[in-house]
Amino acid sequence: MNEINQNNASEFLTLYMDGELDSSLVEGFEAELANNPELQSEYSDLLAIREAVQKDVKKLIPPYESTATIFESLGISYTSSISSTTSVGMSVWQQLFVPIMASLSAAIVTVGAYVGIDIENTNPVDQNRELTQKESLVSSLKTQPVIAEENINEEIDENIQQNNISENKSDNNSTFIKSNNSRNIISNRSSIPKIIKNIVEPVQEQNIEQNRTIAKNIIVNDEVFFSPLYPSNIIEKTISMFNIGQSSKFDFGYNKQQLEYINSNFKRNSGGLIFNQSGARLSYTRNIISENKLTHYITGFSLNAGSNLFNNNFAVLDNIYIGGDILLVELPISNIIKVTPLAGVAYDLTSSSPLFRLGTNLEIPTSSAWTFEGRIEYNSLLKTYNSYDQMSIITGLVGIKIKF
Amino acid sequence: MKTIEEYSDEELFYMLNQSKEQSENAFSELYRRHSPRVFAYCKRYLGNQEEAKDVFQETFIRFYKSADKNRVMTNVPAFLLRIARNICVNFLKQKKNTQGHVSYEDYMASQEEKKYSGDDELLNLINTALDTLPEKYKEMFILREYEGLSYSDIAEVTEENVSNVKIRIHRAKQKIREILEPYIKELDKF
Repeated sequence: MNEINQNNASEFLTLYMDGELDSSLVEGFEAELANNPELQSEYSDLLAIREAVQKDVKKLIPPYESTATIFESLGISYTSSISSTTSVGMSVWQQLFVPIMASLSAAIVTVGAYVGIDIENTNPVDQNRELTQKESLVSSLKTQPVIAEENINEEIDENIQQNNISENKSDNNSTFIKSNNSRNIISNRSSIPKIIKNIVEPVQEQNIEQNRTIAKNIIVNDEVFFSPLYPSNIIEKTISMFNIGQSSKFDFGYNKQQLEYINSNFKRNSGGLIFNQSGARLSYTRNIISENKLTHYITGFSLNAGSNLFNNNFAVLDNIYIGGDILLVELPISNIIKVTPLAGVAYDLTSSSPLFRLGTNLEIPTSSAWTFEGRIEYNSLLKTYNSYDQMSIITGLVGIKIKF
Repeated sequence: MKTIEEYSDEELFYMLNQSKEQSENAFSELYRRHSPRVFAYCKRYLGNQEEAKDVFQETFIRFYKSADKNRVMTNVPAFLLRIARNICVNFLKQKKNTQGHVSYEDYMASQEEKKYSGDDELLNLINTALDTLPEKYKEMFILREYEGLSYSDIAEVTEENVSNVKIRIHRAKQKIREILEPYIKELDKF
């Protein structure tokens, strides 16, 4: 088929459009096309069909659960390719500087002005000590028996007493307790193994990575997760009332690795019961991924109740509150740092006044199994900044989370 | 030192047989590059999201396990699609053998799944037109227009010769055009 004629023009057109026409014939065909209205009409129709098809092609992205199933079946960590593409030659601080500045800017834009962060009482992290505690924590999980959930509070009280907690002390390694009827629940690092006794099921260390984003398993991550007893259908219906931020769009110019990181860290639902220095927090988080070019949205809520918020000097304050936070948008600045602004309201029962809470969660995943988290909060009633983070000795975030 | 993205498909396929870390990185990168097209192919071939997911998952698991240091790999996308195609064909054969009557509800549900939103009426029509084609023509059209494969790649995936591929693609396009021509002309008026 070397000569173009009335009978084969259409076949030449197909080859031409598919880039399969011999280069020596292209010029001749284009001349024929320019002078043949019928062929032009056919070309136009096929082009319209192709454009419609191409529009459809862009929409088909593999579902996350399929990706998770594949990688889980093969025992592969999905983030491994991300870490391997980290720039070579930049120091850790060079890599962290821009994300930290970006995260601070994002926090300011989203939640209002932050005057500063009180780090007066922050001590440097002893990472070796933390790792040792985590290792002992994991090994204790393998051997600890199942204990009913209702014993948790008693166990924590026992812990606090056993560790000789002193009142009103701004000791960085101590927990605080009030002698009156309000009670502050805080863990310190040395009490972690005892609190961990309250796990429903033990966890195998080698399953940590696999279980991290898969429901119904236990994960140790400075917090303890235990299996849910019920499916999440009811919870999802409830949570849909709280979904916000779905139409928001943030584009910080993510590169491909960052987008991959977002997708690979997608967690559908997670809930938690967490004890920290603010009291007990029951939280639920739902992630929704929109398009590849946007951040994924984390929307959720937490209900918390407790007492003894601290002022900047960590003096114990006498107030009991109940409130809720709504998590806004999780902003992965890079594959090193993530920021989640949150806003909340609470009612202080002691002073009978509302308070508004603004904060931001700072998350620095250090490896696929462990995550360091930091949280900075401004309390409008007390006019204090509080920071909770796992890198500081001031507080330890220990709790029990349900993943479903 | 190269980043993982700078490696070719064939180099990455070779790395699947190397150390655990290299193998994982290589597989993740290959997955990132080719999973959308494989999923799209499965979805179009089977017309059903749930079935497509199963086949899609199986495709990549088999792909990973097929990595053999003695295998000479020259075209990873075509290899992936060939695996997907074989699984799809077997899946449909099995389904045909085991499934008798399809209930009205299931049929209507499968038709609903193929529909697009209001703005994509042309796509709906293309989908409908594709369903009228013989299976081999439909497959060729999908591999060419949706997957963007060359004729030689299509020949490799379908295990046909290039001449047959040319003819079938041409006939598929002509048939679809014939069905959609009046509609496309209406669109042009606006």
